[in-house]
Amino acid sequence: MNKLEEQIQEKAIELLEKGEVSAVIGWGQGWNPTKATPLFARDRKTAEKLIFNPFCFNNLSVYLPRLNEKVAILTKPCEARSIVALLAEGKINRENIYIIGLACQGIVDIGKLEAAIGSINEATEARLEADSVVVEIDGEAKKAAFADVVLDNCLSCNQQDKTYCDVMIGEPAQVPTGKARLIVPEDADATWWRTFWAKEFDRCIRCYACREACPACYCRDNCAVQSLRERWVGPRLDAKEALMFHALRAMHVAGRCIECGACERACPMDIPLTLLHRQVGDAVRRLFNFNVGEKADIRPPLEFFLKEELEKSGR
Amino acid sequence: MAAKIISSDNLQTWIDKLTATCEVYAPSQGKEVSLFKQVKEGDKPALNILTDIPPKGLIFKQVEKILSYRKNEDGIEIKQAEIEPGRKVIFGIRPCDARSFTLTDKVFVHSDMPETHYAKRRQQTALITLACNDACRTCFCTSVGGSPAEKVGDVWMMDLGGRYLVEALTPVGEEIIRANDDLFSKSSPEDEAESLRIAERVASKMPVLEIASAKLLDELFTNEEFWIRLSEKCLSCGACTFLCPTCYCFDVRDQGNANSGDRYRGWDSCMFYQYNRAAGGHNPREQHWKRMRQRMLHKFSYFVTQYGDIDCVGCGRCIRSCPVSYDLRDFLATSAVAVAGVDMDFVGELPSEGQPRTCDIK
Repeated sequence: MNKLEEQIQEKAIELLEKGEVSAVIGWGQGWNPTKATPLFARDRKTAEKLIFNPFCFNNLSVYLPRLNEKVAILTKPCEARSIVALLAEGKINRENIYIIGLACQGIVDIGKLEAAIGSINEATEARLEADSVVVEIDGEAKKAAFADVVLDNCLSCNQQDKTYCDVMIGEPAQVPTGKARLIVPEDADATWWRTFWAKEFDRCIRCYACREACPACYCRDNCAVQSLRERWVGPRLDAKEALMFHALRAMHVAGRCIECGACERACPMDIPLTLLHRQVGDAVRRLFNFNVGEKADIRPPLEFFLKEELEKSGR
Repeated sequence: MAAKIISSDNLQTWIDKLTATCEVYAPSQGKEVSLFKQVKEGDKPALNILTDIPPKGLIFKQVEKILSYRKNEDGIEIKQAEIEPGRKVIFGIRPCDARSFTLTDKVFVHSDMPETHYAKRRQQTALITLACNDACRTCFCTSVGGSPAEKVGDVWMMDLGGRYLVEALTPVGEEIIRANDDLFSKSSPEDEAESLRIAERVASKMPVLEIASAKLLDELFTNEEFWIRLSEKCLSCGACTFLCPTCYCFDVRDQGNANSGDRYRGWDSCMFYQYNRAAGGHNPREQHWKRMRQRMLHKFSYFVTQYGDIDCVGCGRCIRSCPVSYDLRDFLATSAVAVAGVDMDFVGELPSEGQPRTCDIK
């Protein structure tokens, strides 16, 4: 157990035993050492199982709109913006949430890791050693440079010292610099993107894991794509129908998506959805000069319109 | 027919010859995911992996057209969709996946109302099973009635290292081997003994999980606290059910208008809210913990009561693909304790090699 984990557990136990919260949402060890799993600690014994390491990839704020009790949540600096976004949209009640910010040194992208060292399914141990991720598979220690396997998001991390939280645990850490998972050619035009997404969405099995893992997708059971009345997405299983779903979702979370990549990590078919959301996000930043997750008292730009905007559009 | 031996080189020749007479599907490692793909002459299948995507969809299509309708002067013309003709072979299917078809057969084939598309495809498809020479950390077939060397399918094979022991299990299997008889040689009692040793070694790598009886699990239905805590972290997506070789729930949807259109049948998932929604808006499984309860009890209780087998083959794909790394074995462990009426802790320990997965009792 590292020092950060010790502090996390201490804080969680304190909150639980003082009766300030009924649960602390954090991460615990999953079935595989490279896969942490969300953990709802409701007592001391479970709180003692809270962990934090570069394999804690889930964005836990997805659970907040579902709960109606006072909870504490562990959050990475970047994902605290999900909480801010949910507050801005009035989807969660600030008084019901105690936010524990964690200094984060970067999170491992399992896709990049597997590309570097092969399947991690048989891993027996995984750790960060200096600048390397070390994974033990069949008694053999496989190594990859942390910078090469860290999430794309971490490469542009600038959240460390301005995390939205009630308490911050750990010292702001240095995040590595490295290469993005997929490099989009500079001259990529609409045709390039059409071909790219047709190929990627051809794999989509419409399990909706992307949607369910997304903190901004809180329509949950009333999602338009599964509406039993208006049929936005047809019954056939092909890239065209899948594009309809993903485009619809991208537009719906535009200006609300913090581009955390939870959708991409949830995808069992490994579809690089973050690219889509980053592109839509770029458009929102350009058009509205708006950065999602910065302020809890500003509503997202696509939730309302200004009279001047209507006049400017000439309608 | 007695078991035979085929060399690795001849195995490839055998696959090539099979591709000349029928559609052959075999494991293929893609850049993003591994799945069963049609192989052409010369293609080398990835026989050493358990594919990310099970071969279920080759027989039970994820989405397929079942009929078309059109209004004309005489009334409404209905055209049943035709099933693609021709024989198929699924080569190198793992015993768990082959077993999954025998389980789904109980529902779709051996029933009062057979599912014609499934039944016909099943009939025209031969399974050439490859026994497992290793077990993944997520494998638990031995706990749910299977085994890594289960003799299931039409032909059974085991890799003895550079050579394969092959045995026909059905008349179809015998025919497949007889068609290329020259590629096979006689097996010796030592080969059989070696295959048994391998089977035992692989089976011993998997911990045997305690699974509560169908009846006791059914009695757990009313223990709401248990199900709420169990499904707390579940996001209620359909990844587990869509990657499960045995999940067989489906939905029927029309696309078209009053004059003409098509009717499609496609996979559905009990984890979806809409799955249970009834006309008029009532939903008996509105909360996601009720849907999780349905998934677990269907597999480990209702199916057992109705058909005599657990509707899970222990392939572990639901564990590997879950976005929140939910481990089905945690359910098995906690429910086994819960039926005994003891409070339990929902955080299982990562099992060490060869150790059973356990959960703490308070």
